[in-house]
Order: sequence, then structure tokens, then C-alpha cells
Amino acid sequence: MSLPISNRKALYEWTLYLLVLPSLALVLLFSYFPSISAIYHSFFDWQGGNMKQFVGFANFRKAFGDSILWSSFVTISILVVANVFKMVPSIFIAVLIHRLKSDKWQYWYRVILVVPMIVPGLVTLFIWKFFFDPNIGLLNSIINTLGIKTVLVNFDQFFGWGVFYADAPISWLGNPHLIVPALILWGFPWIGAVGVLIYLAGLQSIGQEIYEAAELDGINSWQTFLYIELPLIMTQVRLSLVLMIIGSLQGFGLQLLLLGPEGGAGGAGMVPGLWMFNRAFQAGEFGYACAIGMILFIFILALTWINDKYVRVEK
Amino acid sequence: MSSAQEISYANAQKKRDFPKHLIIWFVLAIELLPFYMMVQMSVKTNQSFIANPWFPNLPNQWHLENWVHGFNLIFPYIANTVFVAVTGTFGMLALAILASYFFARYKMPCSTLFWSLLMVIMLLPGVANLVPLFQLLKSMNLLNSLWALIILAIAGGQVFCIFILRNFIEEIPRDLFEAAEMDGATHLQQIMHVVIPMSGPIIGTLSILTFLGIWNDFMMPLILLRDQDLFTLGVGLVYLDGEYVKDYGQIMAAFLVASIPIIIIFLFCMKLFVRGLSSGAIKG
Amino acid sequence: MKWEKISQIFGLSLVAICFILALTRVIFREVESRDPNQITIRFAHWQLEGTVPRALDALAAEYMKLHPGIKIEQIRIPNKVFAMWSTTQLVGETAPDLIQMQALAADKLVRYMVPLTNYVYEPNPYNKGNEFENIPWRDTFFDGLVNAPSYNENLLELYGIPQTMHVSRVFYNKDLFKKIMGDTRIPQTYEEFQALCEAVKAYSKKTDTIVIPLAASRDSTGIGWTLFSSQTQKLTSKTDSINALRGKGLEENKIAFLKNELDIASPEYQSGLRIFREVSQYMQSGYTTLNREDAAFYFLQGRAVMTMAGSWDASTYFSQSPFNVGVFTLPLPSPNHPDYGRYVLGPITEAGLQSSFSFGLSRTSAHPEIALDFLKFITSKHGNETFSKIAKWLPAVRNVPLIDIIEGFKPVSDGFPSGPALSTWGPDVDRLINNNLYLLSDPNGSVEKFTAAIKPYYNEALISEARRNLRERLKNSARMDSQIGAASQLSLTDPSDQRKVSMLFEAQNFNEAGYYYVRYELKKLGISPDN
Repeated sequence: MSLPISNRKALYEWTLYLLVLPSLALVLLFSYFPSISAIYHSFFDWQGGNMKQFVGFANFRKAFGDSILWSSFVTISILVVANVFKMVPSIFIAVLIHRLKSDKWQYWYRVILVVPMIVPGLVTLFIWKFFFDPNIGLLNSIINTLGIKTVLVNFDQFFGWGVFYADAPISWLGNPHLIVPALILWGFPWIGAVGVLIYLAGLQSIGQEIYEAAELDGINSWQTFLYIELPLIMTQVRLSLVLMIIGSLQGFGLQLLLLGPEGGAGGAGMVPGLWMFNRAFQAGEFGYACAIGMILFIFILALTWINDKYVRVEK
Repeated sequence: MSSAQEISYANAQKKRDFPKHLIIWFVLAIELLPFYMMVQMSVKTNQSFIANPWFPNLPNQWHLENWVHGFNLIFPYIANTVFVAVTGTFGMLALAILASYFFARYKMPCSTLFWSLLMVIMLLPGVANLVPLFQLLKSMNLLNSLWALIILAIAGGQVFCIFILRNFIEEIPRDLFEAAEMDGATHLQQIMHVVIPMSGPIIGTLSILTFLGIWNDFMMPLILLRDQDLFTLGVGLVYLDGEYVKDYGQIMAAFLVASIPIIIIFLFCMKLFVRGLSSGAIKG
Repeated sequence: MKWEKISQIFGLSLVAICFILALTRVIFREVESRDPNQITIRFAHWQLEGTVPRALDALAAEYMKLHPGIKIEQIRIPNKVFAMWSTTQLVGETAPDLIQMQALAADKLVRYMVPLTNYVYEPNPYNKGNEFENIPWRDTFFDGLVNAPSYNENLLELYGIPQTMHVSRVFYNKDLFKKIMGDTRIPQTYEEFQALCEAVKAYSKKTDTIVIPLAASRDSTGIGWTLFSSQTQKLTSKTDSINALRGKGLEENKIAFLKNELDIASPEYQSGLRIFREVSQYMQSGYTTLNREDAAFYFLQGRAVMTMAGSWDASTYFSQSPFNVGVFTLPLPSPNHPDYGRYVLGPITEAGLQSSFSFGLSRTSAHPEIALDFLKFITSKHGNETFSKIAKWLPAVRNVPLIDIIEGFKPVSDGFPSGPALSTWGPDVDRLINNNLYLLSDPNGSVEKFTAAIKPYYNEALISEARRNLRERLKNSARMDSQIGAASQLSLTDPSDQRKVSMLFEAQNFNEAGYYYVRYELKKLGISPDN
């Protein structure tokens, strides 16, 4: 933590303000000015041009009665919770790499992890689309070969889901009940290179001798993880959590690319960011989109605050 | 425990690592799949890619002219891109380090307010920010100039970098600063002689992340620049990507050629980058 | 020194050297300033396909040769950023002289684009010596320039000049077709088309390979909706009878729905949905999640015998496919078809086809007369012929001969208009339809399920579109009032403004009549016109 400072000392150290001034000025000018324009426009009936009409809180009132907006918040909440679990594999791999005896391998694994960062998103999209393709895709062939499909169809008939049928390929991105599961499955095994390297950083202070001592004491690897490793990377986990929450709540690129601006079958893939995009660029309701943005902001602010308040582990 | 026993113990340990290696290799294989695709696609024509999307062609069927095409496409943009990316990365980090030092060193009056001001902007979703931003730059007479790109890169990266760097500087032992202060070092000198050497790795990391971002950006150059000889590399790449029926071979080759400079920098600064990300990177 | 350190220093100095090289290049280039007397005309568009920029470059080169001292610059902007790009450039007043027209809101059109209506009644000077020498520029285009996005019917003004027209055709894999059917006789009737699809299905089953009759996507559900509109053809006369204002107004259709004069549950609409569903079963399952690139990929990989695509894609399909490609016009059910014939008038005409790829003149152009002259040059008979030949796109100018490759895209001029659609009436209706389309297209869906899902919300969505339309008309009318005021003042001193004033009045009357028509009808139905 930064050192508390007395007012007198602060007065003496006034030159410190000069250090923060350029950053603050740049951010205020180039990030705040455009954003404040969005806040301002959330009170207008505005189509993105130069004509606008002040409507007070009408956009916000409309948003509160907008069932699509609220169901999109439900969808994004599910996705955020899923994303929390999707952080686990990165932690797991980090711990695994760190526990390796060979320093050389530890180094090279880290190097290899960074390579995919230069690949354009286009390629990843191509691969995953093929994975989910109902007719020629990998997922459906696996399901068919392993005979899981029959099980799913039987379950379906028993429970009456109306999702899986014996005579039709499973349309992962085309069925409202499967869109959210498919979005969750997307990116398996959910390894984020930057995340892994960050967790490895936290683990750095555990030397091999600690593992050996732990082993001599008869502590199993799960306990090692729980009592030695996890507490050390908890701060990194919390930070990734903040960045993940912000990123997933604002994000809609994947949904837009895969499902289109309407959120796909049954609107099941509609998330607040996509609805904002839809209203602005499909319906030309920029003022309303700005209002959705403000509501989203308050939502993110609240979640970040909760995260800051409650997900805090003492070292 | 005799030394022979110790060696056999260590060997046994290494053998026990074998399943771990297996799991890691399995995961890495999936992670590297896109990279493999990119490389093998880059020497195919669209026809051979369509006929055989997943497996590499024999070397005698490689279409290396894709690479030549990629190089020709990228070449005119290289100078602009290097200029913008290097200046932008340098300026961004310089300012971010100064500001992080401010937040990390003392709890000055108003510093919580300033901190909140910076953090809030990270949470605000951008809706229709582009037009006001454009008008602002126009009124500042910055349109059609590479400086506009540089300034936007500097301003845009501040919040994220300060967010990470602050925690990093706070981890530096107090004694180092105090010792420097005893020697009469000014704040700038403390930054030069304590902060930068102590957080070299994270600075390396942030610089490569920023560099990559500017390197591939296409939106801002397209919107802010009028003269096509000012365009940066991302624009060239998006031209290929934007066609209806994409020529995948050419796109991949162009991306690969465009990432060669990054790979070169990366290879030489590898230790800096990997250690940077790993040696205690983000501490909250 | 350790190797690690050396390599780091080497890497960093490499960056430094590259930077210095780049810096000198950038500074050096910025020093060589531009000739201030150089006239440059810039035009921007989003057609990145190789052939189109090449055609425009060729035209620009020819024009520059004709007019030394003028420089023409082509700006290509990818489609996905074009809307954002053009908005910033227009608002920031840095737009190029000529911009490809898109669906711009009326207030933007008025503020940022120059109306071209006054220029198109004169003959195009570049047509000197051909049959259009004394024909107004406007009438050299096959559609007489009465369609959006060139023409804005709310403002009664022409804002753009088109280069081409687009038609959709069925592309087929000749080799695969022959393998399955034994010959390449293309289907002439809907029954034959259906038999072809069934044969492909049987072939796929027999050989246990994945071959789909039709590769489709959510972007081009073309086949389904085209067949659909053959079933509503006879309803056109029904909506015609209530056409209080204009034949092609969409508002009348919306009102007709709200009045229950049109109904999704009516036999015509149900039959349309049935045929949509029928043909969907010949497409990849789950095609509503794919986009046109995916469909093209299926087709080019030889996994589908046919696909529906626009004439603009022809050159790509012909050059990129490893097999022979042919095209044919989708056959619709004839009036004697046992199931679908009842509602059909006959083949759908393409005579009412709209021209597209039009360029508008921006108000910030420094040399509007030269930009306009360039526009005249490229849309002369000769210019458009050059364009069509190199771009391999259909021409927009009459009498331009078609080159071989686009011969199959010659519009069908004989036939009847298509019937009213179900979607494309606005973002809310589109969303309702697209969100539920899987119920209609999936193997386990049905027309009933789809109807049940749509019907309760359809009117609500239509009302929301009608209200949006009212708001827009009201804004247009408010803006127009001030224009009329200004123009009337000017016309007191300058009689040449009289025509302008009367045109503005006409547009205003038309706009307000539409406004009050929709408002009145909504009120009569007990629906509040405001929300």
C-alpha cells in the first residue's frame, strides 16, 4: 500500500502532482470527453446525426420496461458465472507447470504459451465454427461415435426437452436451449496465456524445497494447492476476476459474429452489449443505446465494488 | 541420504512429472492449433485450402508467392507502423510509470479521487464515442497526422497500465526509496534508478502488449488518416480480411509476414517478456 | 556478459535502428509537400472484391488521361467499418468528394449530401455520339433512378448515381450435378427443382457422403423468402386496393396487418411458410446460424450441389471453384402446381429491379463540378461498359452489352410482381422473425410452431415500427419547415428559387400526408400513435 502522508509533507511534495498530470489530462480529454457525450445523449431521442430532442429520463423509463434488456442481463449473468469457472483451468495449468522439477521445461512452456498471441482471431473463429458445425463438425461426430447422442435423445424423450432428436443433427448454435451451453463450451480448454503467466508469477516465491518439505510432512497435492499455492495467487485471481467481469459484461463480439445482431434463435444469445449495438446500429436509437450503456455501467460498477469488498483474501 | 540415493530420488521425481508433461502438452497442442493452421494455410491457394483445410500440403505444392504478396502488401506501411508503434509504446509507458509512481509512493490528498477517475473510465462501455472523439481531434487540428494515432494510443493505454504498474511499484521495498531519498535523489531520479530497474520485466511485458495492439489496429488509421501513404499495417490486413470470399492463404501469409518483426523482437527479448509476465507480475 | 544480456541489448538496438529508419522516412515524406494547385477528387466505397476496385481504377486512369491536372483517388473501406467511417467523415466535414450511398437517415442526407435532382434532366456529355446523346442522363439508367438508395422518396430528391444492379441466382456445381443426375439439364419447374433436391438427398444417403442439395446461410435465406413471396402474390392486389398513397409504401402493408386485412394465419401466408419450410429441409441443418462465407465454403468444398448467391459473387464463384459452375433462375411453382399453384400469379418479374452501388456527392467537396463530371464519365454508356466488363458486374446503364460470364444474370423482364413479405419491415419485426426462424427451418420445427410463436407479438412489433416511422416523419417535417421558410424568403427576390420552393412543398405535403395517414389509421384501431 502507498504510504499515508501528512498534509504538510504533501504540500512540500507538490511536484508529485506534476507526475500524474499528463496521464490525467490525456484520459480526461480523450476518454472522458467522448464518454460524457454518451452520458449526455442518453437523455435525448437521438439517431446519431445532428438532430436530437431532449426527452429527460424517457430512455431510462423505457429501459426499465424492456424485457429484452432484462433477459439479456440474465444471460450475461450466467455467462459471467461460467467464466468464473473457466478461470480454473488456467490456474490448474499454472500450478502444474510450476510443480515441474525441470527449470528448462518451465521456461519453454511459458515461451510456447505466448506464441498463439500473434494469431489473428479469424483463425480461431474458423476452427471453432467447424467444431460446432451441425453437419460436418467435430463435436457432433464425437457425440455420434461415442453414442452419447442416443443417450441425449432418450433423456430428451423422457423429460420432453424438445432439443435432441434422433433424425436430426444437433444444431448447437441454432437452438435456443443450446446457445448458452455452446457459448460456455467455446474456447475449451479455456486457457488464457496471459492468465497462466500471471498466476505463475504469483507462484514464483514457492521454491522446490517447500514442496519437498510438504511431501515429507505427508501433505497431499490437493492440500498443497489449498494451503500453499492458492493463497499466494489469490491477489492475481482477484485481479483477473475484475478484468474478466468488466470484459465479459461489455463484450458482445463473439455473439455478434456467431449469432448476428438479433442474438440468434429465440434471442438466447442476447447480451446487454449486443442489445446496445442492436439498438444503435440496427434500430438507429442511439440515445436509447446510450441509456443502456449507462445501466450497464452501473451494473459493472456494482459488481466491481462487490468483488473489491468481499473477494479479498488476507495473505 | 547418500548422493546415489539422492540422484535416484531426483530421477524418480522427474519420472513422476511425466503425467504432468502429458497434460501440459495436450493443452498446449490445443492452444497451438490456431498457430499451426495459420502457418499451413499461409502456403495454400484458396482452392487447395478448400479441398484440404486441415492438413499441410507437401512442400512441392507450397505457394510461397503468398508470402511475397504478403510482403508487398505490408511493406509500404512498415515505416509508419514502426514509427507509430515505437513512439506510442514509449510515450504510453513513460507517462504511465510517472502516474503509477504518484499513486504508489504516497497517499497524497486527492489521490483517491484521481484513482477513481481513472478506474471509472475502464468500466464505462463505449457506445457512440467515435464521433465526438473525431470532432475533438479535428478541432485540435490533428486529423490526417500520425501524431493523432500516437496520442490516442498513449491516452488509451494509460488506465490499464497504471492499474497494473501501481500494484507493482507498491511491491518494491520501501527501504530502496528511502535510501535513495537520503542520497538526495529527486522523484524523477528515484523513478530512473529504483522503479525502472526493479520493474523492468513488467514494463517489458506491458510494452509488448501495447506494441501488439498498435501494430494490428486498423480502425483509427482508417478513420483518422486521409492520405493513404500514412496508413499503418493493420489497414492493409483488414483489406484482405474484409473481402467477401476471403483468400485465406494470402491473409495468413500477410499476418505471418506482419508478425515477423514482432517475433524477432520477441525472440531477443524473450527472457525479459516471459520473466516480466511471470516474476510477480500483477499484485493487487 | 551473458548471452541473455547480449541478445536483449541486440534486440533493443534492433528496435532502435528500425525506429530511426522509420523516423527518417516519415519525416522525409512529410517534407515533400503537395502541390496546392493539384485538383484531387476522392471517391470511397466498400466493394473490396478485386475486380471492382480494378474497374474503377481503370476508369479513373482514363479520366485522368482525358483531363490532365486532375487526380482521381480511390478509397477502399471495408464493409464492417464503412458505416462508422462515413459517419465520422461526414460529421467531421472531411468526407471525400464522392461516397458510396448507404441507407442514410434523411437528416444526414440533407445536411451532408448534395441533391443531384437538378442535374439529371440534362443529357450526359460523355454520351455524345451514341444513342443517348439527346436523352436525359436519368433516362439512360435502366430503372430511371427512382429507387433507394439513389433516390429518397421522403425528400423527393435524388442523391446518388448507380453503377450496377444485382440479381440473385442459383449457382450449381456442374460436375456433381452430372454425377448425380446423369445430365446437366437445369430444372425448369419447381417440381423438377424439388426432384433434383430429392435426388441429391438420396445420393447422399446411398453413398454415405455429406452432400447437401442447397448451401444456405442466415444472410441469404433468399431461396426460402423468394418462394414465400410467390405464395403471397395474389395478396398484392388486396393491398393495392387500400393503397391510399403510393404503390410501394410499406406503411400500407403494416396497417393492413393491423387491420387484419393481411394475416399470418391466412391460407396464403401459411402456404408461403410451408414452402419456405419445405425448401429449408434441403439446406444444411442449422443453416440459420451460418453466414454467407460459410455457405460459400460448403459449396466450394463440393459439399453442396447448389447455393443461392448474388450476381456480384459470380466472378469469385467462377474463378475459385475447383469444378465447373453454372447458374439458373430459381423456378417458382406454376399456377397449375397441385399444392402451391392456387396462390401463384406466375413467374416473378425482375423488371422492377433496383439499381445499386451508387455514389453521392458530399457537400464538403471542394470541386463539386469536377466530381460530378467524373460521375458522369463513369456512368456514360462507355464508362459503365468498361466497369461492367472489368468488374464482371451487371451494368446499370441501358443497352450496355453483357459479357459472357454475367449472361446468366440477365434480369427476367417478363412476369408478375412478388407478394408482400413477412420481414424486412424494420429492426423489431426482423428480430422477431429471425429469432424464431429456427422453428420454421429446423427438421423438428413446423409452420404451426412458427406461427404460434410469431403471431402474438407480430402486431406489437409492427406498431413499434409504425411509431418509429412517425417519429422520423415528424422530425423530417420539422426540419423541412425551416427549409421552406428560408427558400420562400429567397424566392421573393430570386424567381429561380420558385421551383425549389414548390418541390419542397410537395415533399413536405407527401411527408405529412404519410404521417397523418399512419396516425389516423392507428388511432382508428385504438392504438396510441406515440409511445
